[in-house]
Amino acid sequence: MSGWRRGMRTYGLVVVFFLAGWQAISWIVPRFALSSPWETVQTLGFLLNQSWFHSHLSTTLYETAWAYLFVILTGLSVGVALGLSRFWGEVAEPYVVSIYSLPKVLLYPLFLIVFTVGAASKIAFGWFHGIFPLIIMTRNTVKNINPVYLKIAYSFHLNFFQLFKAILLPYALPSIVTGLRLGFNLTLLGVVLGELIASSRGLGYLLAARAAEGFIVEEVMAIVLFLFLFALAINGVFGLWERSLTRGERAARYGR
Amino acid sequence: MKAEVAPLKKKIIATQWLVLAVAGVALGALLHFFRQPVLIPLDQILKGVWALTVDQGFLRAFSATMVLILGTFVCSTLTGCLLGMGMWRRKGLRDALAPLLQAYYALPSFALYPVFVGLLGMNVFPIVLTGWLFSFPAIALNVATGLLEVPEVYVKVGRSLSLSPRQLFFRIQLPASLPHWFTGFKLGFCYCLIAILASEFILSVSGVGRWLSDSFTGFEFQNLYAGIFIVLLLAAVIVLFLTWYEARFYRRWSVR
Repeated sequence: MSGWRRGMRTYGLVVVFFLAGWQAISWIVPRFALSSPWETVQTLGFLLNQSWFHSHLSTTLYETAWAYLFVILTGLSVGVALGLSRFWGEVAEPYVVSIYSLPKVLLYPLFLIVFTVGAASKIAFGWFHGIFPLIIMTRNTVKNINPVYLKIAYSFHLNFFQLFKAILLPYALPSIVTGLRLGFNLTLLGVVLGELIASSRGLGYLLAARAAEGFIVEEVMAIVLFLFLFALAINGVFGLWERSLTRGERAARYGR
Repeated sequence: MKAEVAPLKKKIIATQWLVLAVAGVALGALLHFFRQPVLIPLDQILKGVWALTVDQGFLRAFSATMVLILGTFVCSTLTGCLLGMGMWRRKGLRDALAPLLQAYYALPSFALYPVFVGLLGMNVFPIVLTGWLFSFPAIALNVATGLLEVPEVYVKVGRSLSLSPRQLFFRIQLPASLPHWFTGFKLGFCYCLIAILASEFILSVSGVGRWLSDSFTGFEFQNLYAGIFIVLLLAAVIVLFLTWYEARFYRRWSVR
């Protein structure tokens, strides 16, 4: 408990330092270049009450949700398949790893050409941006599964879905959750990047538009703040999930 | 045992080349048969690649970007190593920063790019700042992890030989943690590459990202595809080389 409290105190200090630094910079630089923390929060509060902001927000959420759904479905199945087949896993590894660390945004024009400027191109690009960490994490865990578990499944004549539900998923869940968290971050980033470059709706578009139309700094900062808080909140939820899973694992290991 | 492993390895490598060839042929066929004004046959793209290798404008933009990436990478390396060593030495700093740095990559930090453009103007500085912010935390985290994971026994051996702290660092702690430093540099370089190309692509006055963005908006699709092809191929070669070298590094150092 005291460790938890110390952790909270450290977090609190970091947040205070961050806000103080932001405030100090906003005093130094000209007003049109950076808004202060309080102004930004006020602007965010104002934006959250505007219906046009809601429509942009819901566009981003809608695109992220669809992209993420596809990431989960395809990433998990490809990751499990590559983890179970050692041969194909090794064959695919250099491709997956190198695509994961490429600047994928350069391929965005292709997505625009194939899917046109609409929600589809953002969903497809968000999917492409977010799927690789999930594949890598899932594959690496499934690959290292104790072969006895698979033999048990075989001797019980489990079909693939039963195998997945009863053995693979419980075994690999902690690292799958990590993969899901990383995948979510990159999916959101992909969708926002897509909107930033070419679109007519969504938070990324709003960011680009407010930056281009005379640079309304309070609104730009408020949108950035909103995206940061949103990403942190989702990561916090995933972090709690991860922690609860590994706590169970630790308890089982030490017989507590 | 070795004799059994080698043919499998060969088969894997052969299949990897086969997959690449099949993907290339499939892409070529796709582009050939779905003739649309925006899709260009593969031989045209390859011709474009050939033309770009002597194109003055492209080469100038390309080399400018490479210089920018290298410069940013040097900045990130210096600050990342210093911060990582600080985190290793000072527990307080480590406790405060480690959770922050781990949550750091959850943030869609590209969203800050418009803010930086507002603060610093339309030049290379916001690009360098984005690249630096994106890459130095990865270096710092890996350096700190590597130094913290140096086995206590090694340090004790050094102490019993009454090495000075300086000798201890350069003869024992640095070499023992070197693979982790290299992982940090690899990630840092990849992140620099991604961040700088992406920021140039979104909004900038120069560089290969801007060049690609111009070809896209100017409907010069042969140039666009050829440029993407060159940049991604080069990035993939660099990433694969670094990954391969990293694996070799770890193997060689763990045997000793």
